[in-house]
Amino acid sequence: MSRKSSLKGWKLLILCMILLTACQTPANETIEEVAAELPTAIEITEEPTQVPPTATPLPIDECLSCHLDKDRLIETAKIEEALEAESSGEG
Amino acid sequence: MAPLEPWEKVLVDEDFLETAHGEYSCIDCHLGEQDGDKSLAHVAMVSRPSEENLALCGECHDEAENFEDSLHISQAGYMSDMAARGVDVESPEIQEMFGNHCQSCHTSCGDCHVSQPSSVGGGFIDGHLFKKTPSMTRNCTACHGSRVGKEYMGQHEDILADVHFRQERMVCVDCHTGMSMHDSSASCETCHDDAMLSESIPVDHRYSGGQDPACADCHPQTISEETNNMYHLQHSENLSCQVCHSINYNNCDGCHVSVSETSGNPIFSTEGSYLTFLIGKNPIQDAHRPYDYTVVRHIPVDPESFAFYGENLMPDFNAVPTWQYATPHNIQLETPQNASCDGCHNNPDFFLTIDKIAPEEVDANLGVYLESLP
Repeated sequence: MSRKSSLKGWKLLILCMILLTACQTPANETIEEVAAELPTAIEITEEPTQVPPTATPLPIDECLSCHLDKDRLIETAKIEEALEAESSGEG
Repeated sequence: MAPLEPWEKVLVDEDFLETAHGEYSCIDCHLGEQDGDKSLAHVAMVSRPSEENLALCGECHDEAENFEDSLHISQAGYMSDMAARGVDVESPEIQEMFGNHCQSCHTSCGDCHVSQPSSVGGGFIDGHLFKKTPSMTRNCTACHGSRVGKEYMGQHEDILADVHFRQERMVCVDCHTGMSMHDSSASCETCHDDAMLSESIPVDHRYSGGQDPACADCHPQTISEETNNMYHLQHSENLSCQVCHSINYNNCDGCHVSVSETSGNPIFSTEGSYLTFLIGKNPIQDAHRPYDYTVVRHIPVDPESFAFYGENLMPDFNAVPTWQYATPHNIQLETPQNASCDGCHNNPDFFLTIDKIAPEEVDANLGVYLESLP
Protein backbone atom coordinates (compact mmCIF):
# COMPACT_ATOMS: atom_id res chain seq x y z
CA MET A 1 0.00 0.00 0.00
CA SER A 2 1.36 3.50 -0.93
CA ARG A 3 1.77 6.23 1.65
CA LYS A 4 -0.71 8.48 -0.18
CA SER A 5 -3.57 5.95 -0.12
CA SER A 6 -2.90 5.10 3.54
CA LEU A 7 -3.39 8.78 4.42
CA LYS A 8 -6.70 8.86 2.46
CA GLY A 9 -7.97 5.86 4.47
CA TRP A 10 -7.23 7.60 7.79
CA LYS A 11 -9.07 10.73 6.66
CA LEU A 12 -12.20 8.69 5.80
CA LEU A 13 -12.16 6.89 9.15
CA ILE A 14 -11.94 10.19 11.07
CA LEU A 15 -14.84 11.67 9.02
CA CYS A 16 -17.06 8.68 9.80
CA MET A 17 -16.37 8.93 13.53
CA ILE A 18 -17.29 12.64 13.54
CA LEU A 19 -20.60 11.96 11.79
CA LEU A 20 -21.53 9.10 14.13
CA THR A 21 -20.80 10.98 17.33
CA ALA A 22 -22.70 14.08 16.08
CA CYS A 23 -25.99 12.08 16.01
CA GLN A 24 -25.59 10.59 19.51
CA THR A 25 -27.52 11.81 22.55
CA PRO A 26 -25.14 13.44 24.97
CA ALA A 27 -24.30 10.96 27.65
CA ASN A 28 -25.51 13.23 30.47
CA GLU A 29 -29.03 13.85 28.88
CA THR A 30 -31.95 11.77 30.18
CA ILE A 31 -34.64 10.26 27.92
CA GLU A 32 -37.23 12.56 29.53
CA GLU A 33 -35.19 15.62 28.65
CA VAL A 34 -34.89 14.49 25.07
CA ALA A 35 -38.63 13.77 24.88
CA ALA A 36 -39.40 17.25 26.20
CA GLU A 37 -37.53 18.77 23.32
CA LEU A 38 -39.58 16.84 20.78
CA PRO A 39 -42.39 18.81 19.09
CA THR A 40 -45.81 18.32 20.67
CA ALA A 41 -49.05 17.68 18.69
CA ILE A 42 -49.80 20.61 16.51
CA GLU A 43 -53.06 22.32 17.25
CA ILE A 44 -55.13 22.85 14.12
CA THR A 45 -56.40 26.35 14.07
CA GLU A 46 -57.70 26.57 10.51
CA GLU A 47 -60.64 24.83 8.83
CA PRO A 48 -59.50 21.70 6.97
CA THR A 49 -59.24 22.12 3.25
CA GLN A 50 -62.01 20.20 1.47
CA VAL A 51 -60.54 17.69 -0.98
CA PRO A 52 -62.96 17.12 -3.90
CA PRO A 53 -63.94 13.48 -4.34
CA THR A 54 -62.33 11.78 -7.28
CA ALA A 55 -65.62 10.21 -8.51
CA THR A 56 -69.34 10.70 -7.84
CA PRO A 57 -70.59 7.70 -5.89
CA LEU A 58 -72.95 5.61 -8.01
CA PRO A 59 -76.58 5.70 -6.93
CA ILE A 60 -77.87 2.43 -5.55
CA ASP A 61 -79.78 0.55 -8.22
CA GLU A 62 -82.79 -0.63 -6.29
CA CYS A 63 -83.85 -3.01 -9.03
CA LEU A 64 -80.53 -4.79 -9.10
CA SER A 65 -80.02 -4.77 -5.36
CA CYS A 66 -83.08 -7.01 -5.16
CA HIS A 67 -82.83 -8.98 -8.38
CA LEU A 68 -79.22 -9.96 -7.75
CA ASP A 69 -80.07 -11.17 -4.25
CA LYS A 70 -81.40 -14.70 -4.27
CA ASP A 71 -82.42 -14.66 -0.58
CA ARG A 72 -84.30 -11.42 -0.94
CA LEU A 73 -86.12 -12.71 -3.99
CA ILE A 74 -87.08 -15.88 -2.16
CA GLU A 75 -88.44 -13.67 0.62
CA THR A 76 -90.43 -11.36 -1.63
CA ALA A 77 -91.38 -13.45 -4.67
CA LYS A 78 -95.07 -13.90 -5.04
CA ILE A 79 -95.98 -17.50 -4.38
CA GLU A 80 -97.60 -18.95 -7.44
CA GLU A 81 -100.61 -21.06 -6.72
CA ALA A 82 -100.30 -24.53 -8.11
CA LEU A 83 -103.04 -24.54 -10.70
CA GLU A 84 -104.98 -27.68 -11.10
CA ALA A 85 -104.65 -28.88 -14.67
CA GLU A 86 -108.09 -28.07 -15.95
CA SER A 87 -107.34 -28.55 -19.63
CA SER A 88 -107.44 -32.06 -20.96
CA GLY A 89 -105.76 -33.75 -23.87
CA GLU A 90 -102.76 -32.62 -25.86
CA GLY A 91 -102.45 -28.96 -26.67
CA MET B 1 -89.69 -29.39 -18.60
CA ALA B 2 -89.53 -28.69 -14.86
CA PRO B 3 -91.04 -25.30 -13.97
CA LEU B 4 -88.77 -22.67 -12.47
CA GLU B 5 -89.21 -21.48 -8.90
CA PRO B 6 -90.76 -17.99 -8.67
CA TRP B 7 -87.49 -16.43 -7.48
CA GLU B 8 -85.49 -18.34 -10.08
CA LYS B 9 -87.52 -16.80 -12.86
CA VAL B 10 -86.33 -13.30 -12.01
CA LEU B 11 -82.85 -13.77 -10.50
CA VAL B 12 -80.35 -11.72 -12.50
CA ASP B 13 -76.85 -13.13 -12.95
CA GLU B 14 -74.04 -10.71 -12.10
CA ASP B 15 -72.42 -11.56 -15.42
CA PHE B 16 -75.31 -9.77 -17.11
CA LEU B 17 -73.95 -6.48 -15.84
CA GLU B 18 -70.79 -7.03 -17.88
CA THR B 19 -72.72 -7.37 -21.15
CA ALA B 20 -73.81 -4.65 -23.57
CA HIS B 21 -77.42 -4.93 -22.42
CA GLY B 22 -76.28 -4.75 -18.81
CA GLU B 23 -75.02 -1.22 -19.38
CA TYR B 24 -78.58 0.02 -19.51
CA SER B 25 -80.55 0.74 -16.39
CA CYS B 26 -83.36 -1.73 -15.71
CA ILE B 27 -86.01 0.96 -16.02
CA ASP B 28 -84.73 1.96 -19.47
CA CYS B 29 -86.50 -1.11 -20.78
CA HIS B 30 -88.82 -2.24 -18.00
CA LEU B 31 -90.04 1.16 -16.82
CA GLY B 32 -91.30 1.07 -13.22
CA GLU B 33 -89.59 3.03 -10.43
CA GLN B 34 -86.24 2.90 -8.63
CA ASP B 35 -87.57 2.04 -5.20
CA GLY B 36 -86.57 -0.42 -2.52
CA ASP B 37 -90.21 -1.26 -1.94
CA LYS B 38 -91.23 -3.89 -4.45
CA SER B 39 -94.84 -2.80 -4.56
CA LEU B 40 -93.80 0.73 -5.52
CA ALA B 41 -90.95 -0.30 -7.82
CA HIS B 42 -93.25 -2.47 -9.88
CA VAL B 43 -95.93 0.12 -10.50
CA ALA B 44 -96.24 0.52 -14.29
CA MET B 45 -93.40 -1.94 -14.75
CA VAL B 46 -93.32 -3.84 -18.05
CA SER B 47 -92.13 -7.38 -17.47
CA ARG B 48 -91.80 -8.23 -21.18
CA PRO B 49 -90.56 -5.04 -22.89
CA SER B 50 -90.33 -6.45 -26.41
CA GLU B 51 -93.93 -7.60 -26.14
CA GLU B 52 -95.10 -4.08 -25.39
CA ASN B 53 -92.69 -2.23 -27.63
CA LEU B 54 -91.16 -4.13 -30.51
CA ALA B 55 -89.29 -1.02 -31.65
CA LEU B 56 -87.20 -1.15 -28.48
CA CYS B 57 -85.05 -4.00 -29.81
CA GLY B 58 -85.18 -2.54 -33.30
CA GLU B 59 -83.31 0.54 -32.14
CA CYS B 60 -80.09 -1.47 -32.28
CA HIS B 61 -81.00 -4.72 -34.02
CA ASP B 62 -81.76 -4.55 -37.73
CA GLU B 63 -83.10 -8.11 -37.55
CA ALA B 64 -86.14 -6.79 -35.73
CA GLU B 65 -87.00 -4.46 -38.59
CA ASN B 66 -89.34 -6.88 -40.33
CA PHE B 67 -90.27 -8.87 -37.27
CA GLU B 68 -93.83 -7.64 -37.46
CA ASP B 69 -94.13 -9.82 -40.55
CA SER B 70 -92.98 -12.86 -38.64
CA LEU B 71 -95.74 -15.38 -38.05
CA HIS B 72 -94.45 -15.70 -34.51
CA ILE B 73 -95.61 -12.21 -33.74
CA SER B 74 -98.36 -11.60 -36.28
CA GLN B 75 -100.05 -14.94 -35.63
CA ALA B 76 -101.47 -14.46 -39.12
CA GLY B 77 -101.71 -18.22 -39.59
CA TYR B 78 -104.47 -18.46 -36.99
CA MET B 79 -106.41 -15.61 -38.54
CA SER B 80 -106.11 -16.81 -42.13
CA ASP B 81 -107.21 -20.34 -41.25
CA MET B 82 -110.19 -19.12 -39.24
CA ALA B 83 -111.20 -16.64 -41.91
CA ALA B 84 -111.05 -19.38 -44.55
CA ARG B 85 -113.67 -21.28 -42.52
CA GLY B 86 -115.97 -18.26 -42.50
CA VAL B 87 -115.02 -17.10 -39.01
CA ASP B 88 -115.55 -13.38 -38.49
CA VAL B 89 -112.19 -12.71 -36.90
CA GLU B 90 -113.16 -9.14 -36.00
CA SER B 91 -116.27 -10.15 -34.05
CA PRO B 92 -116.21 -9.54 -30.28
CA GLU B 93 -116.75 -13.23 -29.59
CA ILE B 94 -113.74 -14.30 -31.64
CA GLN B 95 -111.62 -11.45 -30.35
CA GLU B 96 -112.36 -12.59 -26.80
CA MET B 97 -111.66 -16.21 -27.71
CA PHE B 98 -108.42 -15.24 -29.44
CA GLY B 99 -107.26 -13.18 -26.47
CA ASN B 100 -108.01 -15.98 -24.02
CA HIS B 101 -106.47 -18.86 -25.93
CA CYS B 102 -104.47 -18.08 -29.06
CA GLN B 103 -102.71 -15.01 -27.71
CA SER B 104 -100.64 -17.11 -25.32
CA CYS B 105 -98.65 -18.34 -28.33
CA HIS B 106 -97.75 -14.78 -29.28
CA THR B 107 -93.95 -14.51 -29.33
CA SER B 108 -91.72 -11.47 -29.17
CA CYS B 109 -87.92 -11.05 -29.01
CA GLY B 110 -87.54 -11.79 -25.30
CA ASP B 111 -89.49 -15.05 -25.51
CA CYS B 112 -86.67 -16.55 -27.57
CA HIS B 113 -83.60 -14.60 -26.48
CA VAL B 114 -84.07 -13.94 -22.74
CA SER B 115 -86.85 -15.98 -21.19
CA GLN B 116 -88.85 -19.11 -21.56
CA PRO B 117 -92.17 -18.45 -23.29
CA SER B 118 -94.99 -17.39 -21.00
CA SER B 119 -97.02 -20.36 -22.21
CA VAL B 120 -94.69 -22.57 -20.14
CA GLY B 121 -94.51 -20.26 -17.15
CA GLY B 122 -91.81 -17.85 -18.28
CA GLY B 123 -88.62 -17.14 -16.35
CA PHE B 124 -85.07 -16.31 -17.38
CA ILE B 125 -83.19 -18.87 -19.45
CA ASP B 126 -79.88 -17.82 -17.90
CA GLY B 127 -80.06 -15.00 -15.38
CA HIS B 128 -81.30 -12.40 -17.90
CA LEU B 129 -78.27 -12.95 -20.15
CA PHE B 130 -79.37 -12.41 -23.74
CA LYS B 131 -78.94 -15.52 -25.85
CA LYS B 132 -78.17 -15.05 -29.53
CA THR B 133 -79.28 -18.62 -30.20
CA PRO B 134 -82.47 -19.76 -28.48
CA SER B 135 -82.49 -22.99 -26.51
CA MET B 136 -84.08 -25.83 -28.47
CA THR B 137 -85.87 -27.35 -25.51
CA ARG B 138 -86.52 -24.27 -23.37
CA ASN B 139 -87.64 -22.03 -26.20
CA CYS B 140 -88.53 -23.82 -29.44
CA THR B 141 -90.06 -27.06 -28.25
CA ALA B 142 -91.38 -25.42 -25.10
CA CYS B 143 -94.13 -24.22 -27.46
CA HIS B 144 -93.80 -26.65 -30.36
CA GLY B 145 -93.79 -29.66 -28.10
CA SER B 146 -96.64 -32.06 -28.61
CA ARG B 147 -95.97 -32.52 -32.29
CA VAL B 148 -92.56 -31.21 -33.38
CA GLY B 149 -90.67 -31.70 -30.13
CA LYS B 150 -91.85 -35.21 -29.35
CA GLU B 151 -91.42 -36.38 -32.92
CA TYR B 152 -88.01 -34.83 -33.41
CA MET B 153 -86.52 -36.10 -30.16
CA GLY B 154 -88.16 -39.52 -30.33
CA GLN B 155 -90.34 -39.13 -27.26
CA HIS B 156 -93.13 -41.30 -28.60
CA GLU B 157 -92.73 -44.87 -27.49
CA ASP B 158 -91.15 -47.15 -30.06
CA ILE B 159 -90.77 -44.37 -32.62
CA LEU B 160 -87.29 -43.33 -33.61
CA ALA B 161 -86.12 -39.77 -33.23
CA ASP B 162 -85.53 -37.78 -36.39
CA VAL B 163 -82.31 -38.82 -38.09
CA HIS B 164 -81.08 -35.22 -38.01
CA PHE B 165 -81.28 -35.31 -34.22
CA ARG B 166 -80.38 -38.94 -33.66
CA GLN B 167 -77.25 -38.96 -35.78
CA GLU B 168 -76.21 -35.35 -36.14
CA ARG B 169 -77.63 -33.75 -32.97
CA MET B 170 -78.94 -30.91 -35.09
CA VAL B 171 -81.05 -28.32 -33.31
CA CYS B 172 -83.95 -26.29 -34.67
CA VAL B 173 -81.89 -23.29 -35.72
CA ASP B 174 -79.67 -25.45 -37.91
CA CYS B 175 -82.55 -25.48 -40.42
CA HIS B 176 -84.81 -22.69 -39.22
CA THR B 177 -82.47 -19.74 -39.53
CA GLY B 178 -82.69 -16.51 -37.64
CA MET B 179 -83.51 -14.74 -40.89
CA SER B 180 -86.60 -16.83 -41.51
CA MET B 181 -87.65 -16.65 -37.86
CA HIS B 182 -87.39 -12.86 -37.82
CA ASP B 183 -89.08 -12.34 -41.17
CA SER B 184 -91.40 -15.02 -42.51
CA SER B 185 -91.24 -13.56 -46.02
CA ALA B 186 -87.43 -13.28 -46.08
CA SER B 187 -87.01 -16.20 -48.47
CA CYS B 188 -89.27 -14.58 -51.11
CA GLU B 189 -86.43 -12.25 -52.07
CA THR B 190 -84.31 -15.23 -53.01
CA CYS B 191 -86.29 -15.67 -56.23
CA HIS B 192 -88.62 -12.71 -56.65
CA ASP B 193 -87.62 -9.21 -57.66
CA ASP B 194 -88.92 -6.10 -55.93
CA ALA B 195 -91.63 -5.48 -58.51
CA MET B 196 -93.07 -8.92 -58.01
CA LEU B 197 -92.72 -8.71 -54.25
CA SER B 198 -94.71 -5.51 -54.13
CA GLU B 199 -97.64 -7.38 -55.68
CA SER B 200 -97.18 -10.56 -53.75
CA ILE B 201 -99.64 -11.92 -51.26
CA PRO B 202 -98.41 -11.42 -47.70
CA VAL B 203 -97.18 -14.50 -45.88
CA ASP B 204 -100.14 -15.45 -43.74
CA HIS B 205 -99.53 -19.12 -43.13
CA ARG B 206 -96.53 -21.26 -42.36
CA TYR B 207 -96.84 -22.95 -45.73
CA SER B 208 -97.22 -19.68 -47.65
CA GLY B 209 -94.45 -18.91 -50.12
CA GLY B 210 -91.32 -20.93 -50.71
CA GLN B 211 -90.20 -23.87 -48.66
CA ASP B 212 -87.99 -22.42 -45.99
CA PRO B 213 -86.22 -24.56 -45.08
CA ALA B 214 -86.32 -27.03 -47.96
CA CYS B 215 -84.75 -30.47 -47.70
CA ALA B 216 -82.92 -29.83 -50.97
CA ASP B 217 -81.09 -26.88 -49.37
CA CYS B 218 -78.81 -29.45 -47.77
CA HIS B 219 -79.56 -32.43 -50.00
CA PRO B 220 -79.42 -30.98 -53.55
CA GLN B 221 -78.50 -34.36 -55.02
CA THR B 222 -81.97 -35.67 -54.24
CA ILE B 223 -83.57 -33.46 -56.86
CA SER B 224 -80.72 -33.57 -59.35
CA GLU B 225 -81.41 -35.20 -62.70
CA GLU B 226 -78.05 -36.88 -62.31
CA THR B 227 -79.02 -38.77 -59.20
CA ASN B 228 -78.69 -42.52 -59.38
CA ASN B 229 -81.49 -43.04 -56.89
CA MET B 230 -84.39 -44.45 -58.90
CA TYR B 231 -86.94 -43.42 -56.27
CA HIS B 232 -85.80 -39.82 -56.43
CA LEU B 233 -85.77 -39.87 -60.22
CA GLN B 234 -89.28 -41.24 -60.28
CA HIS B 235 -90.92 -39.34 -57.42
CA SER B 236 -89.09 -36.18 -56.41
CA GLU B 237 -91.45 -34.00 -58.41
CA ASN B 238 -94.75 -35.50 -57.40
CA LEU B 239 -94.16 -36.58 -53.80
CA SER B 240 -93.10 -34.41 -50.90
CA CYS B 241 -89.95 -35.71 -49.22
CA GLN B 242 -91.90 -36.75 -46.13
CA VAL B 243 -94.02 -39.21 -48.12
CA CYS B 244 -91.03 -41.52 -48.34
CA HIS B 245 -89.01 -40.43 -45.33
CA SER B 246 -91.46 -39.79 -42.51
CA ILE B 247 -92.96 -42.28 -40.06
CA ASN B 248 -95.87 -42.19 -37.60
CA TYR B 249 -96.65 -38.74 -36.25
CA ASN B 250 -99.12 -37.18 -33.86
CA ASN B 251 -102.69 -36.21 -34.81
CA CYS B 252 -105.41 -34.64 -32.68
CA ASP B 253 -109.21 -34.51 -32.77
CA GLY B 254 -111.93 -32.24 -31.47
CA CYS B 255 -110.41 -29.29 -29.65
CA HIS B 256 -112.85 -27.14 -27.70
CA VAL B 257 -111.90 -23.98 -25.88
CA SER B 258 -113.73 -22.45 -22.93
CA VAL B 259 -113.29 -20.68 -19.61
CA SER B 260 -113.21 -22.72 -16.41
CA GLU B 261 -116.25 -22.25 -14.17
CA THR B 262 -114.16 -22.87 -11.08
CA SER B 263 -110.99 -20.85 -11.69
CA GLY B 264 -112.02 -18.53 -14.49
CA ASN B 265 -108.94 -19.55 -16.46
CA PRO B 266 -109.03 -20.26 -20.20
CA ILE B 267 -108.92 -24.00 -20.78
CA PHE B 268 -109.10 -26.45 -23.66
CA SER B 269 -109.95 -30.07 -24.17
CA THR B 270 -109.07 -32.34 -27.04
CA GLU B 271 -111.04 -35.48 -27.71
CA GLY B 272 -108.09 -37.60 -28.63
CA SER B 273 -104.60 -37.81 -30.01
CA TYR B 274 -103.10 -40.71 -31.89
CA LEU B 275 -100.13 -41.66 -34.02
CA THR B 276 -100.57 -42.44 -37.66
CA PHE B 277 -98.93 -41.99 -41.02
CA LEU B 278 -101.15 -41.23 -43.99
CA ILE B 279 -100.57 -40.01 -47.52
CA GLY B 280 -103.21 -37.83 -49.13
CA LYS B 281 -103.60 -35.55 -52.12
CA ASN B 282 -101.74 -32.30 -51.62
CA PRO B 283 -104.34 -29.87 -50.23
CA ILE B 284 -102.22 -26.78 -50.96
CA GLN B 285 -100.65 -27.68 -54.30
CA ASP B 286 -98.96 -24.65 -55.84
CA ALA B 287 -95.71 -23.64 -57.53
CA HIS B 288 -93.81 -23.83 -54.26
CA ARG B 289 -95.22 -27.23 -53.26
CA PRO B 290 -96.12 -28.82 -56.57
CA TYR B 291 -96.41 -32.35 -55.24
CA ASP B 292 -99.44 -34.44 -56.09
CA TYR B 293 -99.18 -36.32 -52.82
CA THR B 294 -98.01 -35.39 -49.37
CA VAL B 295 -98.38 -36.67 -45.83
CA VAL B 296 -101.45 -35.28 -44.10
CA ARG B 297 -102.07 -34.66 -40.41
CA HIS B 298 -105.46 -34.40 -38.74
CA ILE B 299 -105.77 -31.08 -36.98
CA PRO B 300 -108.04 -30.74 -33.95
CA VAL B 301 -110.48 -28.20 -35.40
CA ASP B 302 -114.16 -29.00 -34.87
CA PRO B 303 -117.30 -27.19 -36.02
CA GLU B 304 -118.01 -26.51 -32.33
CA SER B 305 -114.47 -25.57 -31.30
CA PHE B 306 -115.55 -22.04 -30.35
CA ALA B 307 -119.13 -22.86 -29.25
CA PHE B 308 -118.44 -21.63 -25.70
CA TYR B 309 -118.17 -18.10 -27.10
CA GLY B 310 -121.24 -18.11 -29.34
CA GLU B 311 -123.36 -19.94 -31.84
CA ASN B 312 -122.35 -20.74 -35.40
CA LEU B 313 -119.01 -18.97 -35.14
CA MET B 314 -117.50 -21.25 -37.80
CA PRO B 315 -120.15 -21.19 -40.54
CA ASP B 316 -118.01 -22.55 -43.36
CA PHE B 317 -116.27 -25.43 -41.64
CA ASN B 318 -116.05 -27.54 -44.79
CA ALA B 319 -114.11 -24.90 -46.75
CA VAL B 320 -110.78 -26.12 -45.39
CA PRO B 321 -109.66 -29.75 -44.96
CA THR B 322 -109.23 -31.21 -41.51
CA TRP B 323 -106.47 -33.41 -42.90
CA GLN B 324 -103.78 -30.90 -43.73
CA TYR B 325 -100.42 -30.70 -45.45
CA ALA B 326 -97.81 -31.74 -42.92
CA THR B 327 -94.06 -31.82 -42.53
CA PRO B 328 -93.50 -34.20 -39.59
CA HIS B 329 -90.16 -33.83 -37.88
CA ASN B 330 -89.32 -37.52 -37.70
CA ILE B 331 -87.36 -38.05 -40.89
CA GLN B 332 -85.67 -41.41 -41.48
CA LEU B 333 -83.53 -42.64 -44.32
CA GLU B 334 -85.28 -45.98 -44.41
CA THR B 335 -89.00 -46.34 -43.76
CA PRO B 336 -91.59 -49.09 -44.25
CA GLN B 337 -93.04 -47.32 -47.30
CA ASN B 338 -89.71 -46.81 -49.08
CA ALA B 339 -88.45 -50.34 -48.48
CA SER B 340 -89.73 -51.40 -51.89
CA CYS B 341 -92.23 -50.38 -54.58
CA ASP B 342 -94.79 -52.82 -53.18
CA GLY B 343 -94.18 -51.51 -49.70
CA CYS B 344 -96.11 -48.42 -50.67
CA HIS B 345 -98.08 -48.92 -53.88
CA ASN B 346 -101.52 -50.37 -53.29
CA ASN B 347 -100.86 -50.56 -49.54
CA PRO B 348 -104.09 -49.35 -47.89
CA ASP B 349 -102.32 -48.76 -44.57
CA PHE B 350 -100.51 -45.73 -45.90
CA PHE B 351 -103.21 -43.81 -47.74
CA LEU B 352 -106.00 -41.54 -46.57
CA THR B 353 -109.18 -43.07 -47.93
CA ILE B 354 -112.79 -42.19 -47.15
CA ASP B 355 -113.13 -44.98 -44.61
CA LYS B 356 -110.52 -43.28 -42.43
CA ILE B 357 -112.41 -39.99 -42.30
CA ALA B 358 -115.14 -39.13 -39.80
CA PRO B 359 -118.46 -38.94 -41.70
CA GLU B 360 -119.06 -35.32 -40.66
CA GLU B 361 -115.66 -34.35 -42.08
CA VAL B 362 -115.87 -36.04 -45.48
CA ASP B 363 -117.02 -32.91 -47.29
CA ALA B 364 -114.16 -30.89 -45.86
CA ASN B 365 -111.66 -33.39 -47.22
CA LEU B 366 -113.03 -34.02 -50.71
CA GLY B 367 -109.79 -32.82 -52.29
CA VAL B 368 -107.53 -34.73 -49.95
CA TYR B 369 -108.59 -38.34 -49.66
CA LEU B 370 -107.86 -40.89 -52.37
CA GLU B 371 -110.65 -42.69 -54.17
CA SER B 372 -108.32 -45.41 -55.35
CA LEU B 373 -104.88 -46.51 -54.26
CA PRO B 374 -101.95 -45.55 -56.50
